[in-house]
Amino acid sequence: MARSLKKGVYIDRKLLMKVQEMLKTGQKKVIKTWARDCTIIPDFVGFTFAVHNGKQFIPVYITENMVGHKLGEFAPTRTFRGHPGTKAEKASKMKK
Amino acid sequence: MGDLCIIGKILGPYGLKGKVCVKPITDFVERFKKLKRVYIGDNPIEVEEHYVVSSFLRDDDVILQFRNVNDRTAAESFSGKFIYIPEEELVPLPEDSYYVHDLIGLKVCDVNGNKIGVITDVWLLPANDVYVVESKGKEILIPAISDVVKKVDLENKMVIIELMEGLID
Repeated sequence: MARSLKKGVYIDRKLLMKVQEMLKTGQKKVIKTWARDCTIIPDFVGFTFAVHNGKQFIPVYITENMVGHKLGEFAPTRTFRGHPGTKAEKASKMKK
Repeated sequence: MGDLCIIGKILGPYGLKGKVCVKPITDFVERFKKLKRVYIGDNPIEVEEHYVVSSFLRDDDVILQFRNVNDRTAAESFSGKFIYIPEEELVPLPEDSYYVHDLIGLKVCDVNGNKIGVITDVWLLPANDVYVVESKGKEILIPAISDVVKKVDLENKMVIIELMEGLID
């Protein structure tokens, strides 16, 4: 069942406070968080979060099209790392 | 011939006339339409040369027909094998894109020239790619974003990054 509209989206209070403080000071640093269930709001755009995946903190750069999703969606907890020792036609793109 | 690169894995035969179903392991599925010569094998050392007669895309898979493979029994012998192409035939990439195998092994330095470590792996994740850097026995995860990665110099095998506060403990 979906979350009640009356409550609004869930945002981690401590995380929001950290972002608002950084917005005030204009400082940019990576924010470590375990709040995978926190919804991405427009204030988060342009910041980098280190989201815990159960083992490590995965750096996640927030862009506009990620708004409305949860932070945890971008830090997979299990990933197939491909066939070891082989070269594949897979490219890594730099995000601007 | 240079090193071989994987572009797909043969899942099994398709139909009765020797076609095979291939799972693409590439970012450029369209390349299968122009494919002519490939190398097939279990690993890049023991491979056989084959020529592609026809190809078409079907859902997420690719259907290929090789020369002199005309029945299902012959096609079955390819099951589970990988399709390779020479490294020179890889699709040229646009600016700010790099092949994962080119990035692995590059030295990572900060903007002041201090060595941080070596890239040991690249994770292709939904938000942004992540470079796994081994530094003094520790693993550092560097996001592949222009705020952090300032320059990738493949010729000198070096990546210059600007460390954001909080990126390294």
